[in-house]
Amino acid sequence: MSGEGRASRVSSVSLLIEIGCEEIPARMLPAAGAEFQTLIVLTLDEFGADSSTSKVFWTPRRLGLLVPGLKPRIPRKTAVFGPSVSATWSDGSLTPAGLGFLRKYGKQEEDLGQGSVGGTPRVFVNVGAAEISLSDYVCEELPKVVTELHFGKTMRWGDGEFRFVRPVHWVVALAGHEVIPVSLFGVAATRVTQGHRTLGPGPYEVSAAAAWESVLAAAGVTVDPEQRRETLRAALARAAAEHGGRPVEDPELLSESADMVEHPGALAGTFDARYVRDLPKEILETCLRHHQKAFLVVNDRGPLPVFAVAVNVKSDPEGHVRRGHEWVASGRLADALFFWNEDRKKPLADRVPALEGVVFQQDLGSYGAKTLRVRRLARRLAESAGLAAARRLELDRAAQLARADLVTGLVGEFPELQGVVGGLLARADGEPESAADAIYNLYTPGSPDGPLPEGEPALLLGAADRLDTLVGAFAVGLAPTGSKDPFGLRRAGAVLVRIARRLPWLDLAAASRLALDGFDGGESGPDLRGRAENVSPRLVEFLFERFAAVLPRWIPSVRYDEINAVRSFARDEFVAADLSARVNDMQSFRTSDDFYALALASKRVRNILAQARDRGETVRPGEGADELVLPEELALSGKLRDVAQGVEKCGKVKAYAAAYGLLASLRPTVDLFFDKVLVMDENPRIRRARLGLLAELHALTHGIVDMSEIVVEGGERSAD
Amino acid sequence: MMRGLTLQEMNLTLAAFWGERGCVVHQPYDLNVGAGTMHPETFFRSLGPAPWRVAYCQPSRRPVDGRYAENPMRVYQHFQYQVILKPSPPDVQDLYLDSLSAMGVNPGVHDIRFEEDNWESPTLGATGVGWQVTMDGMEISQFTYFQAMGGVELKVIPVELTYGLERICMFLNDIRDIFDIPWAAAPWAPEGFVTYRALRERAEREQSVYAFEEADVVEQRHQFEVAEREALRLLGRQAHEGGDERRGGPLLLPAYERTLEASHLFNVLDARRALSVTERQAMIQRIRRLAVLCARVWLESAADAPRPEAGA
Repeated sequence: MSGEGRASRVSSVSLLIEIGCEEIPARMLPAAGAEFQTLIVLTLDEFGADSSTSKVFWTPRRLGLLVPGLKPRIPRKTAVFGPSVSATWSDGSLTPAGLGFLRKYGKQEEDLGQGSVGGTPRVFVNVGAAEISLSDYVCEELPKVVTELHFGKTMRWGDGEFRFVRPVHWVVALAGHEVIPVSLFGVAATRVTQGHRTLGPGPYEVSAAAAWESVLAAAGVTVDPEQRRETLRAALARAAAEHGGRPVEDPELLSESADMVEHPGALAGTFDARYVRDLPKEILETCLRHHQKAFLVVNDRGPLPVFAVAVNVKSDPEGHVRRGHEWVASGRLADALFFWNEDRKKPLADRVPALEGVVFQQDLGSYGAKTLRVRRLARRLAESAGLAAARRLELDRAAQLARADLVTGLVGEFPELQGVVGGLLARADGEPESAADAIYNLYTPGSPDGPLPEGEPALLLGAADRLDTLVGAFAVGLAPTGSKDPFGLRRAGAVLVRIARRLPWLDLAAASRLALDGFDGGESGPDLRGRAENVSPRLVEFLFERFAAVLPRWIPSVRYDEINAVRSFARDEFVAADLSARVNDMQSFRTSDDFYALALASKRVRNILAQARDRGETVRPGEGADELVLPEELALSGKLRDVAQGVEKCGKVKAYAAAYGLLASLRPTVDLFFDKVLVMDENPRIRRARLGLLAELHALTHGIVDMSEIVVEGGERSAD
Repeated sequence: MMRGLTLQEMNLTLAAFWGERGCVVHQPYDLNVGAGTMHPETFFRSLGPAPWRVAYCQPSRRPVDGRYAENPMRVYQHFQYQVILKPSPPDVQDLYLDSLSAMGVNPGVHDIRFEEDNWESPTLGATGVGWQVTMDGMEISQFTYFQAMGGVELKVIPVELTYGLERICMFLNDIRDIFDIPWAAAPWAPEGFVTYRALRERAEREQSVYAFEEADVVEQRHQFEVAEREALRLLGRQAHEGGDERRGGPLLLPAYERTLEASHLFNVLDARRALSVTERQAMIQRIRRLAVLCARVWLESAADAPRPEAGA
């Protein structure tokens, strides 16, 4: 190949790969792009690929990747295994099998290496080209990498030979200036790319990897997704400003819009002002977003009869594009207004009976049944919270009406407005404001990181609804497995834990048992009460994993061992606020020597006790205290008693920081004890007394958190 | 005031355009169907490896979309121009855009986009991957690579293009009410052309009243049962029935027609809101079962037939 000589003269080279497709769905692009980059950088690790200098690009019609600073070639070794080691030599000299293996590959005895194949030691030699070029390597590996990319849904086309997210039309693969002769999905790579369909279709030759981005820029394509998004953000703002407003903040819609165009243009259009007057802002905004991916334009006083939308064109000289969007917008808004007016003709409360006919989940009955259960559960939770009578009534009303909007026309048209529509209708019906607010926020937060609703009725309703869903799903075998979580239970669990942290009295273990009792076989769905033993422990474990996942939101410095240290406090009882406090108050003690040393000692105690029990010793805290006579024993015994009393008091009022301080104060006494006293004395009575003392210590170091779970780096050595 | 093609000219333009590109220009199927996909020349020809190209305009009845001729956009029956290209050619997107140009759409002044929309027909046991094509924000076509038909996963992939003729015609003529669409130029008519209103308004009004209010629910259910029973009987027909060897065996096309009838009856019952959630689901499954059986019989008989491509 003519390029070989040239490539070998340069010390580093940039790699460019572009896969040109028919329009890839916007929602799939960011994840697929990131995966493409990760896989290629991993694959080219030995060539010096670096994820921080490589850059991934995408538009609806292409995935691109630029990896600079690669070695043009690297040494290559391919091991070929031969006979087993024992069959290769006999008494130190080569056997006929060994000789034959060497002859076959033209190697000498000193070329032989040894390795294990399926547990058997065998000899091998390295064969093949001494070097492999980047180009050859990409030819071998790239086809494998692209078939490993995950898109939510893939397809066949033409003769059905290939499967990818959409049909592939062109491939550009360059190592510096040279074309890499790779073939993907039956398409041979060239240096020829295609531009924007109308702004600059091309084809265009790309002279070198580094020139690709600017070639496409000249062809009307912004390939960098971040740049495209920011350009679009500014274009939307400009278009809205022409009408004296600004687009509503909607980062998700902005990213999605940017990934639906190759050229980030924007325009603003108008609609009849009566929609602003007659429709709530939420409905206006959703209607424009849902059907048209358009942003409602607002000013400081509220919505304007204006929308802004991304377009894949540079200009709209004849106004066709704007008029088209205005046409669609006015039709959709007319529909929304029709539904809003129709839906308000009947109070929300009158819709509740219709929920009998709406399936919640096949094995869990209707939303009517769910409403009964959630209402009962919310009532019980409110009782245990000691909620004021007025608030209880509001919560009960919210629970009763919570799902009634599922049978409205608006939610039928805009499912993403469930909850919001219920809240708006409840307010229009004159329901109590806090009840309307709780219904409005039933599905809040929509994203796992979004802010929680305010106010106890909203939090309690959110908790009760999610508990009911989780318990029911676990009881009928719908718990998430691996990457499968079709009911979004992980998110529901994470939100539930976050809500629980706001409600310090809420014990999720007890509440989930209550929730399961709600499935009693009557009007409120199937009878699942018999499944408590199966459901509760698994659900608590699941919720603990969610707790572990959200804990860093509250305690950024948290470490995994600290989470393990509270795991045993989330079994029969699961109070998220309390678990979080136990971990939080540990943070300032983590760094103290005394705490470390005590954590180490507690591990040692745990091991000693476990070994003793294994040997059939009976170990009871405080047993045989009369046998303790050594000063170190007596000192520890006395100190333990004092500290135990203090820790118990602190624990009662959840003053965990003070408790950790007390525990840390044990350290000198404990150290002295281990220095001077041999626990496993020959005299069984003395031994039992000392084990009893350690059992007390163990109980103490496991009373607030399991200190023996704390990982002590480098500490093992210093303590021995 | 007329600037763009009439509906009739669009029909003729598409027929000529696709005819020149090797399509059999066919006629609509003469039964009540909800979409061009249900035409046997699409449903059956999508199965198996044999190449196929066809184009036709299919009046498509969707009872739930009826609006008593009072809505400027939605109608009980609309006209779907349907094109099947099998196997899908690599330049199909360009062909499609060229066909828009042929109708007078200048892609340089419009924003034409391919937005993800994965089509599915539960009653036909069919799925596809593709897009809705939008022009300036308005959906004007469905563009689908079929992946399964009659419950059978496809290897050789047909691509289906369906044009919403009314929408495009409204665009071309800058009209906002579907009933103002110029159907055909007619020097003898007062305005110089015949409108969609003149041809369709009465049908839209009456069909809406029928579908939403008048259709006899008991009778429709009964007819559904009859159609289903008949389809099953015809599909299960034995080789010796009918006396003559060439007249024995399953009667596939009559059975498929009963399936289409069942499907339309289901749509009417649905529009009448006569079906509970579970009953609705069950009925869809019953129709799907018939479609799957039809597809199976087609593939078996295609395999029996001495055609070179069937053995692949």
